[in-house]
Amino acid sequence: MIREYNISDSVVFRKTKEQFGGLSNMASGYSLYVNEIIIPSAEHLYQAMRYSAYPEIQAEIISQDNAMKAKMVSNKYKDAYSRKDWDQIQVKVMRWVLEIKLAQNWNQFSELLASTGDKNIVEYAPKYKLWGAIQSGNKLVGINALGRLLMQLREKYIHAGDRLYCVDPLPISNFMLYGHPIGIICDDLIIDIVTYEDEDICC
Amino acid sequence: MDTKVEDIYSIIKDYHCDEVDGSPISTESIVQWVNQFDTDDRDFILDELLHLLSQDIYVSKAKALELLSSFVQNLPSLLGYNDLSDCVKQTEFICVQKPQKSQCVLLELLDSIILEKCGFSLNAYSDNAKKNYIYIDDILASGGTFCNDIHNYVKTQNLLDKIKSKEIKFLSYFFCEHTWGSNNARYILKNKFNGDSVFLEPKLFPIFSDYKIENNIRAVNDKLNLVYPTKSKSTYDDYLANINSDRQAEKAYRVANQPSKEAFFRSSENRLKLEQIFLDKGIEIISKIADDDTKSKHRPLGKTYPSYKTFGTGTMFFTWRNVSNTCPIVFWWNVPGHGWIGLFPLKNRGIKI
Repeated sequence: MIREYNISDSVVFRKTKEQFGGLSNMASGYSLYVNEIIIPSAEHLYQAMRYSAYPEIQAEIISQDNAMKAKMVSNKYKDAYSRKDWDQIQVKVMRWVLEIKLAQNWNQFSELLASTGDKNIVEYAPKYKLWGAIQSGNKLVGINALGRLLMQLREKYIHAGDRLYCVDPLPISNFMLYGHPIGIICDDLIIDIVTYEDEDICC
Repeated sequence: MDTKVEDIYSIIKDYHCDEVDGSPISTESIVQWVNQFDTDDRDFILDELLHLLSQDIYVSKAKALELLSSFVQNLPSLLGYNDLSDCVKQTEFICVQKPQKSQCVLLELLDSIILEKCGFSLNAYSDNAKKNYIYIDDILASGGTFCNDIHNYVKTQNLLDKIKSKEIKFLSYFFCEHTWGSNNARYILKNKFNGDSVFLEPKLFPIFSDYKIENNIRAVNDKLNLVYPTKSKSTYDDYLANINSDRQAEKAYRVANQPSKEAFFRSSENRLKLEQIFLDKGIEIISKIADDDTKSKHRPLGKTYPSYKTFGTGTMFFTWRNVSNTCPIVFWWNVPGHGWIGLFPLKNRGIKI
């Protein structure tokens, strides 16, 4: 599972304000819309899904105005309230979150992914973690699960020229947001808004 | 009954007070309205309506001036100024609706407030370069008007990049905002602007409101401070079956244990009863519309998108200016031959039959 990446062959992201910062789950400007709830970032959604059985915790996480605060709120609950199967499903959940991020922010996120070309995508981590890789000389070493998921997305949708519109729900029990099941999520909220010139519309 | 009627009258007595003939509301008109319901329900309806009206869901003209004045007072801090006059000089108060519509009426009131506080009118510095844009209206319900207005204005004025780069600030303000409608409006705007998520960002595109109707049944503990029926009678299913569309069908009913805590009606039992009374009567009124196309555009609990397979928006919020057609139609329906007179007569809109 551990991989090594030459830094010179890699797109490395660590801070959200940098050129490739949008690849980070912490990046703002990539809001999501799930069950008609606005979710400020991918990190907010990922953290919230730890607590499927606790809508109040999910709401506290999602109400945070930035991703770092959302993660901090999640951290205070995770020992006692995380899903029991979280370790088994967390990578699947992350893939699902990233697909929603791509589907609902296609123009911006697909362009960013495309701009990484064929390079490795690696999240820089200062210490060993599942999601990124740590520096060792001119290499980055680690599982880099987030970077690998992003590369999979890039291959599956960007390089294949396949615009992602809909994301299927995960086949996981009690996969809920605020106590409601999450179904297929599509980027297609188009309704028949009539114009205000019509005297007969609702406001 | 007399005391309750008097108390209701004291709250809503300035409805349409700006009309030539003065307000049409009187204790007699309230009694006339409630007497259209079944005899056994009348006292209950008055009790419950009075309880609801006591929760600031009616904005009188005096209250509107107070709310607008408070909003104006907060503008310098919202927009980063020390002085209100400097702030107003660099602010465009968007005026895109027809003259008789709510936005224009509110802007007239705002003008009088600015004149008093700053000594000049809203248009006095219209040639100044603008750094702030404010969209104002009384109610955001389903968000249709808001979406169209914002989309057209931002597009024609070429403001999108300026909002994103924070070169300008753009905020919206309502007396009343339906949370489901505003969330949907944000998402629809995102899609209308080619997927740009700026409209989903509260910091870049804030929407302020004095009163929120929490009506997303998939949110956490929404108050559902509106009329939102449960699946409790076969006639309700029959009504839905005749709507030739399936959009949002899963939203037609709230489940019986929503809201988790009753904070709007006097009790959950009273909620259930009043919702059924208004829905039963609304379905009865709708059934009198002869033209199928017209019938398809109306809903017993007030307008919503025609493609929604629901009973309507169910808004319980009123202003002195005009009743919203997203309110249950028992409040505003008035078509000759239909045997019904709404509590709040309509103006400038009429009912197309």
